[in-house]
Amino acid sequence: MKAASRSKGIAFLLSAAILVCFIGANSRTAGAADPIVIGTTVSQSGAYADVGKYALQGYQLYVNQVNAHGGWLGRQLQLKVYDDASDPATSVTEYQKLVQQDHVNLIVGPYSSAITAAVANIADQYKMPMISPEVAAVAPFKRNLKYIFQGTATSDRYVYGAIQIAKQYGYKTIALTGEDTAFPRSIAAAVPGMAEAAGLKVVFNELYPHNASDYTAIVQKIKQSNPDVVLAISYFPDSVGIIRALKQANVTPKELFFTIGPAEPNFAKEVGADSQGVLFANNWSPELKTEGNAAFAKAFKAAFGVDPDYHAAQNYAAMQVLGAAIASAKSLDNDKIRDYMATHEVDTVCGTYHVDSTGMQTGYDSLTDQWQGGKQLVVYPSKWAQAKLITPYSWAK
Amino acid sequence: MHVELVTQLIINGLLLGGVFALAALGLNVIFGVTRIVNLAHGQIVILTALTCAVIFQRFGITPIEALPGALIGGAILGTLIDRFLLRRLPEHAQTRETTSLLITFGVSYFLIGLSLAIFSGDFRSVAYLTDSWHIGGIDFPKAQILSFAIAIVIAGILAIVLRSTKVGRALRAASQNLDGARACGIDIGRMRTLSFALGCAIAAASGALLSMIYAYNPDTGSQFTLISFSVVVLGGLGSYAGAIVGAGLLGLAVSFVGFYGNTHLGSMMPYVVFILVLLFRPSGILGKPATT
Repeated sequence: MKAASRSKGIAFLLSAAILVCFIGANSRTAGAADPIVIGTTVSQSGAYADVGKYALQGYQLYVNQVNAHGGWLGRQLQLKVYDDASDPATSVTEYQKLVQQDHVNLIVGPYSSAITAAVANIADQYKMPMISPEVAAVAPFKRNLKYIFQGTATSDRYVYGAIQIAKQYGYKTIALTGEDTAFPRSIAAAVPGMAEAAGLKVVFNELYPHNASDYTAIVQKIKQSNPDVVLAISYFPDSVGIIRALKQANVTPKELFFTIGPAEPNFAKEVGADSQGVLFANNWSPELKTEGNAAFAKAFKAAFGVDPDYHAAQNYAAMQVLGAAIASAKSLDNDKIRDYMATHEVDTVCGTYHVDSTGMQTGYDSLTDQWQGGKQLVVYPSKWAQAKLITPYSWAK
Repeated sequence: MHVELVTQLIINGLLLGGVFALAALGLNVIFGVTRIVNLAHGQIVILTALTCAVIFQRFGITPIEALPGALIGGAILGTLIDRFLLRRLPEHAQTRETTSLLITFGVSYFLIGLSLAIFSGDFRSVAYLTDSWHIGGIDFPKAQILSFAIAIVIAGILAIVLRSTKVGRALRAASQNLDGARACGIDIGRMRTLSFALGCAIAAASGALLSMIYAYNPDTGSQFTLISFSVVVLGGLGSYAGAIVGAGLLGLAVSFVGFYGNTHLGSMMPYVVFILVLLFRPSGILGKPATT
C-alpha cells in the first residue's frame, strides 16, 4: 500500500518535471531575441561528401555575414545541420526530426537531386517553403508540390553548351553515359532530343550503377560506337574512372564532356595532365558579373581558405532568396515567404532567381567550362567566356 | 576485329581480377590463421590509398616507391589492432567469432572517422601510370598490369613462406588445430598477431597500388571489403590459389557481362557469384570442406 502510493508520488513528480520542461522549451522558442533556426541536411559523409562540404559552407558564409549585420528581423540566424550520409532515406528522417522535434523555424534544401527528390514532399506536408539549391532534376517539380523551389539551373541546361559546341564544330555523333541515379537520369532523358535538334545523333546510350568498380566494359562499348563526342553525366569518382579507362583503351573523342565531376577545384590535381581540354558544366564562376559576386568569392576564400565552387555559390544564393522573402514578409509566416519565392525575381550571386508555376528555375543560366593549363575557364556561352575553346580534345602527353 | 575485341575483354577481365585478388589477399591471410573476418579491411586499403595520393601530390613520391612504407605501416596498424583489441577476446568462447566481427566492424568506423578527419571527404587519385602499352591492337593498362603482377608475387611468396619456413608451418598449424599447435609449443598469441600484421600489411600494399586505378574518399572502403569478401568466399576461405582463381573468374564475369549485357548486371556479378557459391559449393572452388 505504502510502496504503491510512493511510486504514484514519484510518477506525479516526474510528469510535473516533464511538463515544466515543455513549458520551459515553449517559452524559449517564443522569445523574440532567440535565434531563427534554419534546418537542413547535408552530405558530410558518403559519396557526395566532397561537394556537400561546399554546399554547407555556402549556407554558413551567408549566415555568418547576416549575423554580423544584425540578423533577420532583429534576430540572429542559427543553422541546424544533420549529416544525411548521402542517403535519401536518412535525409527524410532527419528533416522530419528537424520539423517535429527540433521545431526549426525554416528549412532549406539538402545536397543532390536524389536526396531532394526524397525530401521534397516533406516541405508540402508541413507547409514549410524549401528553396533547394542542389536539385537540378526536374522530377520533383512534376508532383504538383507548392512549397519546393529550384535554386539552380534545370538539369537539361547542364548539357546545352556541350551540344552547342559540338554543333558549332560540325561533330555528328555522341556517346552518352552517366551514373544511374536521379540527377544524371534526368539529364540523360533530355539529351537525345537536344542532340537531334542540333543535328547530332546519339550512337551509344547506357548508364552505369552508382559505385561501379569497373568502367572498362562501358568504355569498350563506347569505343565500338566510335563517337565524335563523349558526354558523361558523372560525379567525381566516375569521371576519373571513365577518363582513365578511355585513355587506357586509346579512345580519342574530339570533345570530352563530364557534367559535374570536373567542376571540383581539385579535379586537375587528382587527374593530372589528362584534365587538359576536359569540358564540364558549371553553374557559376567567380568572374560572373552578377550582383555581389566578387565580394562573395573573396569572403568565401577568406572564411574557408579555398575558392568557392558553384555549389557554394548556389547555396549562398538560396539564402539570399530566403532573406529577400523574409524581408518582404516582415515575419516568419510560411505562406507569405512561399508566395514571395513563387512570384518574385531576386538578384543573387548566381544571376536573377525566378521560378515558373511548378517551382522550376527559369532565371539561372548554366555555363560550360574547360580545364586549360590546370585552370577552370568559361568557354561557353560567349557572353561570359574567359578563354577560347581548345579543340579537338586530345590526350596531353 | 572480333578476335581482337574478345581478347581485349579477356585481358580487361583478368586484370580486373588481378585488382580484386590483390584487394582480397590480406583478408584471406587473416582469416586463414585467426578465423577472423576483418571488416576493417577496406578501410585499411583506402587509408593507405589516400596517404599515397597525398604524398604523391606533395612530395612526388610514387605509390611504387611508397610500397615498402605501406607494408610497414600496415603491419604496425595490424599489430596494434590485435594487441589492443582482438587479444582481449576469450580464447575458446562460442561468441569469439561474432565478437571479433563486431570489433573489426567498430575499427572500420573508427578508421573512416580518422580518414575523414585527416583527409576530408574529398575524392583523391594518383595520376601515375595511367596509360597503356598498346601491343598488337590490344591495350595493356600499366597500373593494372603492375597490380596483377604484384598480386601474383605476394601470393607466391606467401605460399612459399607458409609451406617451407618454420614460422609458416607454425602459422598453418595454428590455423588447423589450436590445441595441437599449442601442445607443440607454438605461441598461439604471437601467431595471431603475426597473421594480423601480415594481412594488414598486404591490405596496405594493395591500397598503394589501387591508388592509381580508382578515385576514392574515406567512405569508399566498404566496397573493397565486399568485393574482397566475395573473392575469398569464391576461392575458398583461407585458400590463396583459390582466391586468385576466383578473382580472375569474377573479373571475367564483370567484363563480359558488362560488355554483352549491361554494366548493371556486370556490377552484380560478384554478389551473384557469392550467393551461388554459398548455395552450391560453400567451401569455395579450391577450398577444403571444414574438418572440425
